[in-house]
Amino acid sequence: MKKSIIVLLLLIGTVVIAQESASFTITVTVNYVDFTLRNAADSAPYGTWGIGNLAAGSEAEMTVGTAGDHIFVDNQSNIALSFKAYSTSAAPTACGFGTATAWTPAATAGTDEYKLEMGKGAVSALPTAYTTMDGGDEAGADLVYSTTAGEDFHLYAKLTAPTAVSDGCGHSITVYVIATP
Amino acid sequence: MRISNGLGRYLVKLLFLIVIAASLKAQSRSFTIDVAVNYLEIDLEHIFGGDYSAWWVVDIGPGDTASMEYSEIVRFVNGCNVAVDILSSVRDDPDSTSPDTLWLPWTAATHPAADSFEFHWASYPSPPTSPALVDSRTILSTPSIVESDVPSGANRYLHAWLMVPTDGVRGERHRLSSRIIVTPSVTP
Repeated sequence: MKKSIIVLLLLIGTVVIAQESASFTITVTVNYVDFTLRNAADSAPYGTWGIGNLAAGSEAEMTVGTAGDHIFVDNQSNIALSFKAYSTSAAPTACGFGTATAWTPAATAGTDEYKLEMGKGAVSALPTAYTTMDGGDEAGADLVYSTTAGEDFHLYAKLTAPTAVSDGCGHSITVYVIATP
Repeated sequence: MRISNGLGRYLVKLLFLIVIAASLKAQSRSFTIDVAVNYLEIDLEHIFGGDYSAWWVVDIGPGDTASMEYSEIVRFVNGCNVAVDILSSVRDDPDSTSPDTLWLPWTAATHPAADSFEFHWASYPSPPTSPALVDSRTILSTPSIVESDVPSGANRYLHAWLMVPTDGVRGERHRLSSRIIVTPSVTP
């Protein structure tokens, strides 16, 4: 047998490897939640519903129309949302009429207790039904309306004044509107 | 010499994966409601202080007129946060435990007559030194206006006149009760 001579040749050079590539796309849309409270004409941010003086136990209701005092909810969200609300009211500064006492939201107006109701209407139409907002914190917020993605709507509030009060001072009630996916 | 590529073909897969944080949480916006409730509170005091007790009319003959003395004027202390109307009514209010039940009750009327008396209130912004009957309103058994649109917190001084019935028995006693009522001048 012939000895084989193994010749090891080392070839140093450029090795060309054939390449191929392909790609695919992942489309991701992030949930975006944002809304603003605007005046009925959608010309300015909504600030204050100034009711003034009410008789004890009487009602005040937001008004219709672009010149009305209801709220336009400008919904810039890209998903369906649940809009809830609750309210708080601190004791006012003493005013010389009785003893300044904080009001609280309630299902029924009572002594130093107000009833707040809210509902979805249209620009020129009051809500067909109101929901009572008797929660005093975010955990107790009540559902006002559920929207589709980007759905704007007209929001109305109705306030029943306490049936009796400890003071004749001006009270400020802060209403919080919360949107959650 | 043949050189063979033992690596063969292979595909390069490059995967880009972007992971973005979870969606935004709830958003909250707020607005304010400014409101006040009509607060009605009054006190009736003697002009020199203290809760008003009674106006004693004594030694008066049938058909005579009694007018409050300066010290008997009623101070109407106005603790209302809205403008109010002051109303009043009057009636003979016999107490079953006192002698005034021995006589027939008097009736409030526009003119004194048998068993009918006439009663007036006048309202002044300051204690009147010369009160006049022409300034007053006739008060009957149903509430009627004494003064309208009294500003919030503005006190008043009330002066009364009593014209007793044209008949009567010596020693006859009656207890007349006059109610002072306030209502908001304008209903919101």
